[in-house]
Amino acid sequence: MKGFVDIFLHQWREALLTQSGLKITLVHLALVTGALLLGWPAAYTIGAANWAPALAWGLYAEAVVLSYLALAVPAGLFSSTNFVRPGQWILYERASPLAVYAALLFATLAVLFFWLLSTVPIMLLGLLLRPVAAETLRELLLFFTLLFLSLIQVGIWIGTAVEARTYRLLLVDIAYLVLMVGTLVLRTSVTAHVAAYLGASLLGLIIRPLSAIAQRLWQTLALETTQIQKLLAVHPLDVIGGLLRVTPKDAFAASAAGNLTGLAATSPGPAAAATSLAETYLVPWWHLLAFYGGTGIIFAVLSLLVLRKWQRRYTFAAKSGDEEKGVYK
Amino acid sequence: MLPPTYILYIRHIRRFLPAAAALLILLLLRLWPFSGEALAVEVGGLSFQVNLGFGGYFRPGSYVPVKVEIANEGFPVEAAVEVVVHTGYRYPADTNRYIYRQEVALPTGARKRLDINVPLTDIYRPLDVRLVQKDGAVLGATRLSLRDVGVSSDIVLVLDPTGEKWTWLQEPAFSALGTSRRSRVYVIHARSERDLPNDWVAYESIRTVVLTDAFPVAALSVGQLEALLSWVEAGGHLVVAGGPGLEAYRSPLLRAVLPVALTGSTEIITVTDLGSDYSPFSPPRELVVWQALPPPAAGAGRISQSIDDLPLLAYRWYGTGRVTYVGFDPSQAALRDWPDLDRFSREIIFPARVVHQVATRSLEQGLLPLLLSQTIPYPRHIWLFLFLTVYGAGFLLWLWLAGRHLWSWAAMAVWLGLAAATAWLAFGPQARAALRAYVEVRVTRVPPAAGKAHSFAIAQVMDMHGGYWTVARKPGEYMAPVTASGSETPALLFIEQKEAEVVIGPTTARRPQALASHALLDLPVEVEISRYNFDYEVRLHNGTPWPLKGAFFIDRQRYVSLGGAAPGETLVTRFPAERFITATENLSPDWIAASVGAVARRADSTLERPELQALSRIVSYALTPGETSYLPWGAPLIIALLDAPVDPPLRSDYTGSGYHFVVVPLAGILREDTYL
Repeated sequence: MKGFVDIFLHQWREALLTQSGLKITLVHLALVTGALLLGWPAAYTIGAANWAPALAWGLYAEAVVLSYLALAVPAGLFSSTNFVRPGQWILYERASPLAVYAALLFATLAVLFFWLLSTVPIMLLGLLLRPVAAETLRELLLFFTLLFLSLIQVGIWIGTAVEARTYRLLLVDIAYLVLMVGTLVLRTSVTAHVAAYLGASLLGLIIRPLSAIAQRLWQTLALETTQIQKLLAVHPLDVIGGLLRVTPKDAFAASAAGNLTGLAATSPGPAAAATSLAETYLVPWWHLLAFYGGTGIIFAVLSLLVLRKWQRRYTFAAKSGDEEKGVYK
Repeated sequence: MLPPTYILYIRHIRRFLPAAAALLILLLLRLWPFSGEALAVEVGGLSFQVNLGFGGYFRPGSYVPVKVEIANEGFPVEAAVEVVVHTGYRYPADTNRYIYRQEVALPTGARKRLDINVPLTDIYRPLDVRLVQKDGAVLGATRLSLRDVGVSSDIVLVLDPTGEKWTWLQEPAFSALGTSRRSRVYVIHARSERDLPNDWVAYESIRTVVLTDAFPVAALSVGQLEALLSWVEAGGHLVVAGGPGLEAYRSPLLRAVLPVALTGSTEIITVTDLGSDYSPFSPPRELVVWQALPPPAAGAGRISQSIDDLPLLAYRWYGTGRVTYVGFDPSQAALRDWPDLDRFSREIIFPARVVHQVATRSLEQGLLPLLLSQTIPYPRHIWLFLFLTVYGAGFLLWLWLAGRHLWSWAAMAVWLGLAAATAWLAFGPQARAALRAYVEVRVTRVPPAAGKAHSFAIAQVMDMHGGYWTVARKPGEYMAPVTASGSETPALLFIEQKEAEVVIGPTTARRPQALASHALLDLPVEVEISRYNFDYEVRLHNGTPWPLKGAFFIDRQRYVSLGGAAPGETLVTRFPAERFITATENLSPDWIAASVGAVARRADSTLERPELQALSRIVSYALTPGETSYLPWGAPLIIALLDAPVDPPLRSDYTGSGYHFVVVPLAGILREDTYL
């Protein structure tokens, strides 16, 4: 437990109370503030019956910034001089691998939520401009937790397994690109068609008697590409858009219209309590859980395996009576 | 001879062929331009076919019937048909989507047909029709492009099983100077009762319906006949064209609206001409003409052409629409070579209108600047920037100190709370005010052939709660966005939240609400109008518990102030018809509205400025073409302000939007001989 607390506090101080931590907090606040101001066009007069997608912009900014930080903080990218590699806690502080892992996870999670908390007054402004139901807020919190948990696992693995800072930086950037660009490609109709086609064709090739069924399956899947696309829509901005019921495209276009052309209202609309049937906004929770949860579990196992390796090294060194030798062997 | 390796290779390729073919078909389907005529979709034993409008055509800006025929050869399924209409500005794209949904049970072997009437305004946005399961899973979907099927020309619906009558109307007219400027006419043939809708709104696209003698009227259901006549009452035009097989006289409903009394027998007469306006027949033609008698009641019809007291052409006003009777069949062979056949039939089909459309602006266009003018007296972005900068700087300071002093964490939490409270208190009230929107529901009922009409309009404010707009309504008022247009199964209108987050309901959204009016309560305001030579007498009885102020008699060309009536009192006003302001051309609704406001102020000094503004706005709204679905152009009406309290009380800056108005369309009251 002592190990856990020590590592937790170390990570917390390292992420927040150092100069780089202060810089990150400042940049993060500035970015979210900028997003709010951009998402709230000058043409949108307060006190008039119109609506600005400022909250959506704020949350998009949070997703973009905090996703990177969720990878970078546990990977130790911002601890330039005295980065303590997770394995070293095992070697020198005799912490158990599980305590190291848990401390890293909870410390990063706490830091991320601290940053999220720091934007409460800004988000409140966005919320005032466009209230959302309490249920939506809960779902947003759930999604952010899921996203952060998953990305932190990747970050911990990078920080645990890779020693050189350059490679850690490279891996963090690749992981971030996969999240932000890869998932975007994933949900296009082309990917859906290719996935359906390859899946069915491979099935037909591998299991010969099933080829007729595979053809049928392919035809069905080809017709259901929209459904497949929906399953693959795990991009954070898509999900937030789905929860807020404003697609990123619409939110950006609405604000751009207000900012650039001075349009006061995005469109005249009726006002009525309504039940939505829009499929655009359906959030595939099970697929999100599968995608982010799966990624998180895989990288958590990988991290624990690496930490166990450090533990073995320590055990070997302790047995041989020469800890240092064991370490550097 | 190919080497064995190649044969193996080709075998492998062959395996991919069906998949490739499927891909090709899919691509072709995606690229193929869809038409609105009919689209069939078949998935897993379920197939459905979609027909739009009449013969695939419709007039934008009107309700359009979407006929969906479903057949289920697979498992039983509880499904729903959804028609998704995209409206609104194209920028940002996909802003508004209205989903009209009708549920349907589909047991195995079922074949069902659903008629869903949807308002279509934008032909540049496609229409989606889909069959969904109750859990939302899409069973099949199709997309219809409206570009080529939405036509602004006149559509004439000819009830004719042969599909051959009145076809000359759609031929372009040529003159010595080239093609005539006359716009194109679309002649659509309804060959059986299956082609006719059950709701009157579905006829909105149609300019004239022609009932030919070949059409079996007996096959029409009472609902279909009532729909047709309701449409006429609301401003449509029905032409009953004679011929040997005419069955119109057999239907009591039709018989009641005909401008002549049909005896049920025909005779052959020799006709030399059809009036001095047209060239005479040379040689004289023998026409099969129905034996008809003049209308039994005065004012129930006017005979415009007759031979030996046998009415050949007659018409009558029914509601605000018109029923024209032609005693013979203009399609008959004897008239084919008559040079004036085209002109004659066009004048029957398209009679001169009393009023013409005028270019106007909508209520929203007038109201929006009013709402947007409510600026706050400081540059908001500078204040916002300052607030956020101070907050951010303070937060960073506390964070920096937190590394040195533990108490700074507590200070930081307090700072965060203070900033949040400031945001809530300083911006909250204004932001919440921004989330109130104006909504207006106009309610009217014009009972056919009744001397009284009840109507009222309510202006109210909607609030946003938890991301949803809700109407703050009083008990006893029913303003659900549900259209129950005569049928037992209400067609639910689902409006997505997104478009509800913007400003003011457009016409398309308000019209279904107006259609639901029959479910609403009426206000006991009764109107009777009599004419004595050149005088009009209006009796306006105010049966409500609230005073009635600033009553006006208005049509598109004139208006007169009537005064006011206390609760329970009857206002009797007599005024000479020539004292109307008359104009050769139609007046702009805005001009009339402004004049009404000015006159009302002079007539009633108790009327306050917001009330006058609101009165003008309602007048403008009521007179603007396309704004009201139930007031045809030029329909005379009485508008009065009802001084009823609005609950909840409105903010002062919603000037003029929170008043009740009595709007009485006089179409059902004024008889033809009464109205000028």
